[in-house]
Amino acid sequence: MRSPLSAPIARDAAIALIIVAVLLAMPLVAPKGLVFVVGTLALHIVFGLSWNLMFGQTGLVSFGHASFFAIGGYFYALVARSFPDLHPLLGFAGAGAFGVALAVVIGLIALRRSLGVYFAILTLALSQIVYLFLSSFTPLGREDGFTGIRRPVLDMGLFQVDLAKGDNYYLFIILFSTLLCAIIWWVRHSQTGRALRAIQQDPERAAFLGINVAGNRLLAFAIASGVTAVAGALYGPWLQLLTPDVAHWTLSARPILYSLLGGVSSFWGPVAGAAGFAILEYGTRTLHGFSEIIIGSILLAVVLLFPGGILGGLESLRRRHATPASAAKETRR
Amino acid sequence: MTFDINRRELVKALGAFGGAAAIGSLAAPSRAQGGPIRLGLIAPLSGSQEIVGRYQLAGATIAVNQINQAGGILGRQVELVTRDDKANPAAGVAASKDLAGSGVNLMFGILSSGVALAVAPTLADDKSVLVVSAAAANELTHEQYTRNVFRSADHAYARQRALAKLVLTDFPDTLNWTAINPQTAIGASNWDSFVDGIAQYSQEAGKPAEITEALWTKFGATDYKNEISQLMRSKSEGLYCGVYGGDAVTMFGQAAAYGLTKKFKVIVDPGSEFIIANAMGKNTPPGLWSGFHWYHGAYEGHKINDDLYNAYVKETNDPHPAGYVGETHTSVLAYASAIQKAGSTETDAVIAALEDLEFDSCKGMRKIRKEDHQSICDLNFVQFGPDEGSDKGWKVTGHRIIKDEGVSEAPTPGVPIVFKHKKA
Repeated sequence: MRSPLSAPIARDAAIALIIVAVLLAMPLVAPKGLVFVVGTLALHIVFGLSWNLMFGQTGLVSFGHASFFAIGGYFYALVARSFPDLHPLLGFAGAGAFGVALAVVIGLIALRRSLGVYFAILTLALSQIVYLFLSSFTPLGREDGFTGIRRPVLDMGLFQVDLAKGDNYYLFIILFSTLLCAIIWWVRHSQTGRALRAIQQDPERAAFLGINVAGNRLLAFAIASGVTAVAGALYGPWLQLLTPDVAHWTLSARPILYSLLGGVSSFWGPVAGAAGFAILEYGTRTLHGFSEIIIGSILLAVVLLFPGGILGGLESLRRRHATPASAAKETRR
Repeated sequence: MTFDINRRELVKALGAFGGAAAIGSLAAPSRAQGGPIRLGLIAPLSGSQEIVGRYQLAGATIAVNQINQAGGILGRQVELVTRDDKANPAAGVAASKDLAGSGVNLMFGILSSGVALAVAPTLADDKSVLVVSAAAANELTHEQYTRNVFRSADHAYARQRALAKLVLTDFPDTLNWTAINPQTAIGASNWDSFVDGIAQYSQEAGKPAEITEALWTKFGATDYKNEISQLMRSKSEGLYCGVYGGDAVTMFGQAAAYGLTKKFKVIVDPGSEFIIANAMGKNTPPGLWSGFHWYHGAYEGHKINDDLYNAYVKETNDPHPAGYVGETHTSVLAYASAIQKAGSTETDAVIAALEDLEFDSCKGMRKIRKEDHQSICDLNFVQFGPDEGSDKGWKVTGHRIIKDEGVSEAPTPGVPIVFKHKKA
């Protein structure tokens, strides 16, 4: 019997391989401005995927996901400045662990008591607290931000890689982001992922079937927060500066937009959404003042015309254009 | 169905748009030696700071037009390439990298110090030069100094110490000062510089001044009533209003009801320029001294100043150009002189030419120091007062040029600024 996982693994691995190969080749063919945008996009893809792990799988809506991006970023920056000899990979892992720990504490309080709009508002309040803390805490640079975050040297035992040189940090971001996306993919397609989907469809029935509803929701929240914190940690040395804006609600809105634009039901939805958003932003960057209007109008049009997002829209177009024979074949399947 | 066709067309249009954007961005134009010299302006051209960005764009556009009308630089025309930083550090880095990737290695502008501090460390890798036209943070020419960054405008330390010199000359008996400042690095840096100046110049005059602890407010605060009440109880005679821009408008708006502006003998502002007077109208605090990047009225008769002012008024019908107009105009002139001197637009040649460059600008001669790349130039201040007779409700009641003779610190690139005279 064919494993239910083998088909998505083969297909998704092939898609991922093509995307990663294109992204790794970017510095060879694309101008620096575009490479910077794509490096940032890779981190935003992780950000969007982790948010959708909560929403698409368990129905948890967070309006404050950027707080974990900021927490991870500032955590890494502070650790790297305070312990310059610490291995950078430990710093990134530490940022993820800190994000998970914080999410568990918050989740234990917030998820037991409230869901839906209450959870959304609680997370929004959390992000505002983080934002205000970062803007007023002097050792973190307050409103002016945490400056001078260096790109580290990776000591791999046999050899060293100076991430400050050339496009090394860009390549590092792409590879690390791929690993983080793979973790999210694995969670989605694992037994935990199926339990999460069961909870999303009907929590009461899932509980009746013996699934730990609260525990699994907390797990999804913790994983999403931890992965986002690592993405935030990677962002600090990329920009070499962090400002409280990374905890602002406008950044929390980004993964929501990516998921709605790309489609919430597919793993690749937030990837398509983030890429589409980046293309729109980059394509309209010289239309000063009109950029936001154009992007906003297109987002509105996509969300209204394609409730399933870009991927949902493409899927329905594919079905509509399928020949009657192939449609019949599909029906027989 | 018509609806279906429209949807299909929309999808096609979206695809075409996205594809065109992607392809267009991949096609980076090459740097042609015979073509125009391309200068990249990075400024907030949208968002909340666009009200300042439009001045920066105006000054740069006028300078480029004037140079082109006079025959260009090295016989080549100048082309202005603009990028929007939205006063956001990430967008600023993306903008500078975008310019570098498009073959524009000579950049200028930048309003926000946060953006300048984010862009600065990326320039060496991209082999680009940045001439900062406004961002005033001392760090840029001190602990965050890099070889690729110059500042053709004045900086926080010089401006605030010059302001201290001005008030001690005009009001030698106003020796007790307090302040209301935003909790930002530039807010702290401005106040430290002002106190340093007050301490030095009052001691030199034989009448040491007294500083009462400043009040610190959240940047972007909307309620200043507690702070205003505290200031109303203050025994100080001089008020340094460090809150700037929109915050200053909010603060003064609320202060009017308390009579705060009548309580203090002297009120000074580090650099809101026309913003406070424009917002307050007939309630403009009488005698308010405000720091300016450039005040056109102070240089009447100086050709560069007059030509710039006339071109600006002709273009916009606005008789009150903010100092930012003069500063981006100056940055373009700095590049023009440096390129002429170097005979090239290559990064290393332009950097070498900008070091120790002396050039004329809308506020007279400036010199860019070789050691820390800071420009030494005049410091401008304008005094405002209410004017019942005019539509706008305010008038300029005076202006002052302070020459930078010992006002700026000695250059110490890579080392934080030291406030020698300010007591801890």
